[in-house]
Amino acid sequence: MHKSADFTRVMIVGNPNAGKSTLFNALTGGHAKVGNWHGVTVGVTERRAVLGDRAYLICDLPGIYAAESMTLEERAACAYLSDHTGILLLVAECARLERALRLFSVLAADRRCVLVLTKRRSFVRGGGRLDRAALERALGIPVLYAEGGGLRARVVQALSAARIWQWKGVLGTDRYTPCSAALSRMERLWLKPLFALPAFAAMLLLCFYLTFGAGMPGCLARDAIESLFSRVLAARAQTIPSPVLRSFVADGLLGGIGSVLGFLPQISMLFLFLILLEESGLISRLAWMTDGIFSRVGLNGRAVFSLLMGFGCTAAAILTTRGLEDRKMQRRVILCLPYISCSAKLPVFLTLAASFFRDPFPAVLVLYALGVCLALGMALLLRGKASPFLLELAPLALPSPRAVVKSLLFQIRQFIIKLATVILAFLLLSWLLSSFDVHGQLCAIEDSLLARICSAVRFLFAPIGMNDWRITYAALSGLVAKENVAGAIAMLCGEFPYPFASGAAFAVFLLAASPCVSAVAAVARELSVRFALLCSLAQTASALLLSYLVYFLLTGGAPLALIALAPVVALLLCIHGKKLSRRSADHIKTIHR
Amino acid sequence: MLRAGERARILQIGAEGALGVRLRALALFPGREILLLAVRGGTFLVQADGLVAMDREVAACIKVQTLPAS
Repeated sequence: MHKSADFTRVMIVGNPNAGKSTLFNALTGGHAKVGNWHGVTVGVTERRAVLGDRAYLICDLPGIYAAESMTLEERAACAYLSDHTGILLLVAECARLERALRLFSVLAADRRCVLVLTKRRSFVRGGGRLDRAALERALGIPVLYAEGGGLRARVVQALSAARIWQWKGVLGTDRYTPCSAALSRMERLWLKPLFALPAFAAMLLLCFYLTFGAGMPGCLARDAIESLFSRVLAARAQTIPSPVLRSFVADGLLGGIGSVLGFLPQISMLFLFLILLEESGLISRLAWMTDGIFSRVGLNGRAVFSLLMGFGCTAAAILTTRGLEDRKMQRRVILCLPYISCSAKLPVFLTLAASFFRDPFPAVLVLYALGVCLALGMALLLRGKASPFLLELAPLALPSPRAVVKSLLFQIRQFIIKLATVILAFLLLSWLLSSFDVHGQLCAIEDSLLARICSAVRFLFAPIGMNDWRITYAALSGLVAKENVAGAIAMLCGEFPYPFASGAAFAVFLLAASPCVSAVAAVARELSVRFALLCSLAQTASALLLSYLVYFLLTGGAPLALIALAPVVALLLCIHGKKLSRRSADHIKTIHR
Repeated sequence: MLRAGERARILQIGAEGALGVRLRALALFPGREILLLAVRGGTFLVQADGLVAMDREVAACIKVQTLPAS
């Protein structure tokens, strides 16, 4: 058991989607991820806060339905509770109070507690009634509403009056009247299959079109930023007297940073779509609607949360797999996620598509669709017994503009921080290595250190018509952060200098290769370092073979395409053979038992 | 077997372990009235305390008695 003498630990506990993270953010000023679906919080977040005149360690735990946990994140939350002492801040929706009290009677027994009731307005609007004072007397602990002004002050007062939970009774109708269970018109509309799936597909297409359709807001904003960097700032940079500094600023800094920063509006639009999906509650309806499809490839509807998050960030999506029921399912989903095109791949896809098409929208859409197909193909290849699917749907709600703006600004800030740290450091390193030779002298790019190092492995891309160390370097830079690829191409090549077949093959390589180091680290945390490194290697190798296949198909080299396909088919047969022999071995064990 | 739009009362939960506990935690326990809202591709959407989606395997654990239409 852990206890600190410096501060009091306060653990926020409750059912999923009860409002725990919202309360956490309100108390700490932090930005724990919130969303209108069950399973947003995937790990314990701790943050110190001074409330009143006392220091607290506020801990936001993943949602728990029952002490006997079904998912990985619930088990983590229960383990945290049993390992730590402190005050419990029990969070319950007014409309789900009965079930919450059943949970708290188990989790909170013999602990000091405060009960916070959330979503009161919608409860009252639905005809519900709750006597807070009577409930407080019955439970013997402070009870307060989350809504209303002065929340921090009220929580401070309640924490100082926290009492031991001892209640095991029943909610009487004198204290509590449940609200109406009738579904709204909007809820009933989203239950109709002929409306819901086409509507979702249309929203996704609209989002993509607005983001990277020619002449659309995303492209216009990107062009404006690129123009600022290439014309205005680059022109100013040419006036720098020192040739070394001029090269660094014009070629390294502005060329690289400008090419990546230009994609910020488009990445923001993609994140905005995901945030609206989360906040509205549509994401859990999508999970229900697609469970039948996912079960055919050995997953279940719950996987759609992680796969959708993958369009934003692969590393973050990997963390959401803790909401799955077992390790095998988690492993399968994690292996599918790298094929989902994250927002970091968008700059390089647009760069490549813009080299060949006036309107990059169809080409980028094809790449996104190909990624989804590869992910589902991987799921089918690894197919095992799907876990039972049981999911509570979050109520539909109009996204709160404040919550949406806050989440979006958080994502933009994360992107700029990444740009200002990882990507800038990488661009600086790239410029240094590409501007100086082995003797430390300023030189032409072909004689640089970078050219020497990358020339050793450029043969990897020779089969797709790019026997070029610069492309090799750009591809390798994607292993650190995918945004680096666009920056490296801009810095080293200017525009993409190869024909369509090479560009398409390169795009497929980037689509299917190992994800960035952050995602590999996330896999290592969830599963193991060995597994993460092996997967990274296998994905990169298979991505190379896939790129050869695409190139040979596009250049009409069918016999060579078969040669590229042979190792892939052999690997698939090997994996399938292993699975068949494992199944027959299990069957034999069952008969013999 | 229940059809979409029918109301029923839960008679028995046949699931043990974590699944059974989770069903009870979602207010799906014997005596509770539920409404089957929709069936989509082998996935059921049930209204009890809230909206709960489940696949065939989970739905098979819940024994119900159909109630007359109100």
